[in-house]
Formats: sequence, structure tokens, C-alpha cells
Amino acid sequence: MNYKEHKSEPFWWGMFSQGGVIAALLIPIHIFLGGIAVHLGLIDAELMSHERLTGLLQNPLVKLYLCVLLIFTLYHAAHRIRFTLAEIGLHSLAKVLPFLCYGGALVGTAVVLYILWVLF
Amino acid sequence: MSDHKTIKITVLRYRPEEEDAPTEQTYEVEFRDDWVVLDALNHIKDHIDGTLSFRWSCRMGVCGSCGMMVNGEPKLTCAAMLRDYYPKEVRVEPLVNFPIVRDLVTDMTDFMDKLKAVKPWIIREEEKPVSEGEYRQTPDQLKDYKQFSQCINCMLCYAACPVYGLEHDFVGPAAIALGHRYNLDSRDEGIQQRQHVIASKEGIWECTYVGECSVVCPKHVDPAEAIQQTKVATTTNRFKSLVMPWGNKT
Amino acid sequence: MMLDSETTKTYTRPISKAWWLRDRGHFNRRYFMFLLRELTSVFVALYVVLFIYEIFLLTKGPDAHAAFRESLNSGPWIAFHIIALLFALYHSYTWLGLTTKMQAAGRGLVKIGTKTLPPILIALGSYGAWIVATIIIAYLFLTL
Ligand code: SF4
Ligand code: FES
Repeated sequence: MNYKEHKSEPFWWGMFSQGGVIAALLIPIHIFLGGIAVHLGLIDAELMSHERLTGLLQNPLVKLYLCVLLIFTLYHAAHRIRFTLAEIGLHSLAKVLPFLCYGGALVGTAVVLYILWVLF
Repeated sequence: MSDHKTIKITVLRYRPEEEDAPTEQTYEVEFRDDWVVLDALNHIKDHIDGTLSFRWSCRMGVCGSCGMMVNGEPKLTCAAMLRDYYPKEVRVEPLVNFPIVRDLVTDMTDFMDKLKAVKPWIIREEEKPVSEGEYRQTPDQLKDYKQFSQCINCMLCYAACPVYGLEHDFVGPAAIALGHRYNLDSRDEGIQQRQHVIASKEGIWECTYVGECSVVCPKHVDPAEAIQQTKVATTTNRFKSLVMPWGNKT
Repeated sequence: MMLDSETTKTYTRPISKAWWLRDRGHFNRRYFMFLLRELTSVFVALYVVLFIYEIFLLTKGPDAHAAFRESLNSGPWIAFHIIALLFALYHSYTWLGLTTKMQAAGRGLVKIGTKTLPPILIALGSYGAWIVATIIIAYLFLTL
């Protein structure tokens, strides 16, 4: 076996683990507030209205926060999905899965940046 | 008063000169409260069927040669008490993920090659002459790697690892943990000579932290954490060298 | 035993396709929990994509966004969010526990001087950070 230090895996893994921390700390509360609490009437529905949310998005700090939250978690998920797919039967595709998964995260990154900083 | 309790032992058998695939055979042996699975196998070999093949040596959990699957879990058979399974039947199979040579004996060439590849010994850039004395180490420095030095090369962790089962090129838990052990040793200067193996595609990056290696390890080596720590260190260094390419790389 | 693989007839039992359900005849609960842990990423991804889609709709005006919100206010979508929340919580629990385990092995991750920081402090730190972050986000969301 001829081993070679892999140069890009540390980068993807670094994004994966940063995203993992961010998802662990922040995703549950977001799901709860926007997806559950508001519909069960636990919090005021106005909090998720168009006016209210666009108002929040005027604040560049909120935009920055959303960039970090959404982009890093995309890489986190992409990395895990890449390996999970290989482990549950797509092992023969192990060479293309990184392109598909990280490619998806890269596209997602562009979309997030475009929406937040160009459209808004 | 003799109440003869017995226990059924089913063994996966493979006799390459007779059959193309493994078959199974069940033996009924006396159940003794103080017996381990290995005792039952030895009883079978001595009194029932002398053709049964398996490896063992120390009978006290230090040589690492008696590893087998016991009811689906990798175990040192010299440490697996029969009474923990009784009265249910016990299924003994060779360690999975390795080629079976005969009955419960597997071929460990692959593991040996990987072990050698990580250079599990102290590497010095320059050896100092004997006259200058030994390389000294504080208790704290010893503690850094002691846990990872307890490995007895039993290969239970390889049998437990689905990643190794799927991808045989994976360097695997014990070999990486041992490489890590020397990287952590204050007397060692060989990290650069191991990194191309440990941080290769087939090395730490193949691991998805199933964690089963650490569960089955009889010596509490915790190879999963050795791999995680290496990933963290390698990633940190990589980002550092991206941000400051001029920095010294260790 | 070292042997010549060219001349020795060995037999390897391949790992089962659905090894996380049954591997070579045996079920391992930890393999199954591992797969659930990895599956959390699918729910994280779905939720994040939904989140991005909502921000996009915000740029399309109040009506488009209100219609989207209205459709989320339905049994299936609430069920989806509850399941996603359970998976997200499982991710938090396993992920934050991991730093503690890493700290407990060998040299650990964080050393102060020559001493390895006790893993329990790391556990308190990471689960504590989770609680603090949750409170801060909830507070800001409700009051900003
Ligand atoms: S790390 Fe543990 S399970 Fe693996 S070979 Fe060493 S002692 Fe055996
Ligand atoms: S016989 Fe030596 S470890 Fe079991």
C-alpha cells in the first residue's frame, strides 16, 4: 500500500465539525420556535410574519448570523450524508459522492449569500 | 450428587480441503461455573473433536490471540465467562472481517502490514549515544499516551468496525491508535514519518466514528478517541498552515 | 499467522448489506443507534433547505410568504418539525457528548500547563454552552 497524506479531507472535515457544533447548539431552538411553537400557539404568530422577519433582516448582524448558521450546517450535513450513503450500500460510488455532496453544499452557500446580500 | 448441567456450543467450522464455505457444528459440553468460552473449546478439542482449530496462548488476556466472535460480539474467549451466556447456547465464530484460514483461525497478515506501516516504535531524528543516558520522561508525559500503549493486538476492534468491513484498505483502529501513541510520546520525533499513513485517505479520514472499536476493546485503549484526536490535530494544523504558510509545521 | 495468500484457500464472510440491522446473523443495537445518529444530518439538511427557502420567499413579498407559513401550519408539516426536532436533539446530545469522551482519552484535547482538564468540566462547558445558546436565541427572537 502506498499511503499519501490527504490534503483536502482536513478541510471538509473541519467544515463538518464546525457545522456540527453550530447545528448542535442552534438548530433545535430554531426548529422549535419557527416550526412548532408558532403553530401550536405557544408564541405569537406575528413573530414569524413577513413584516417582522424582513425587519429583522435589515440588521446586518442577523444576516451574518444566518450565514454562519445555514452555511456551516450545510457542510456538516453534506459530509455526513456522503459517508452514510457509502455505508448503507453506495460504497461503489465512494469516489463520486464527495463531488455530489460537497457540490450541493457549495451551491447552497452561493444561494444563501445571493439571497441575503443581493436580494435583500 | 451429580446434576450434570450442559451447555450447547455452536462453532463455525471451515476445513478448506473439504469444503468451499464454512459450516457449523454444535457440541454439547458440561457446564462449569468457572469456565470461560476458551475452556469449553479446549474441552471439545481434548475430549470430543480433536480436529477443531483455534488460537490461544496465555489464558489471561495479555497475548491477544484468542479473539473470536461470541454470540456476534468480538471477545477474548479467555475472558468470556460461560455463565454469562448459560443456559442459552453459545455461538463461536472466527473474528469477522478477516479471511478464515481454518475453523476459528483467521489470517492477520493485513493487520500486521498496517501495524508496520505506522511505525509503532520511538523514532529519533538523531539517536543520542548510550553514554548520555536514557531519554527521561515525567509522569505527566507518560500519562499522555499510556492508555494508547495498552494494546495487545487482539484485533477485536477490526472485527467490530463496519468501516473496515466495507473498506479493507482502512488502516483501522488499533494501528492508528498505536501510531497516535508514539506521536504523543515526548521522546518521539517521528510524527512526520507516520502522518502520510495516518492522515491518508485510508487512514483517519475513512473513520465515521461508529465507536464500536472502543466498546469492544478489552484493554480500554479507546482507538475511536485516538482517531478523533488525530483528526482534530491534523485539521487544526492544516488550517494553520493555510492561514500562515510560513509557520513551522509540526 | 502470516501466510501466503496466493496458495492458501481462505474464506471471508462479507459484511452484510444492511449491517446496521443485521450483520452476519447478529443484531447490534449500537450499530443501529449509529445509523440514527448519522441520519440526523438528513433532517438538519432538510430543515436548513426549508429555512433558506423561507428567506427566499421573504423577498417575494408578504403574500407569497404568508401562503408558505399557512401551509406549514398543517398536521404533516408540524409532524415533520417534531421529528426533525427529535433528530436535532439527538445530534446535539451525541455531538456534545463526544468532546467529553475525547477529553477523557489519553492526553485529551485541552491541557492547562501539564495537566489534562477533567472531562467533566468539558461536559459542563459544552452542554452549558448549548443551554446558553438556546436561551440567547430564544430571547433575541422573542424580543428583538
Ligand atoms: S485497540 Fe484494543 S481491541 Fe484493538 S487490537 Fe488493541 S487491544 Fe485489541
Ligand atoms: S489466550 Fe491470551 S488473551 Fe486470551
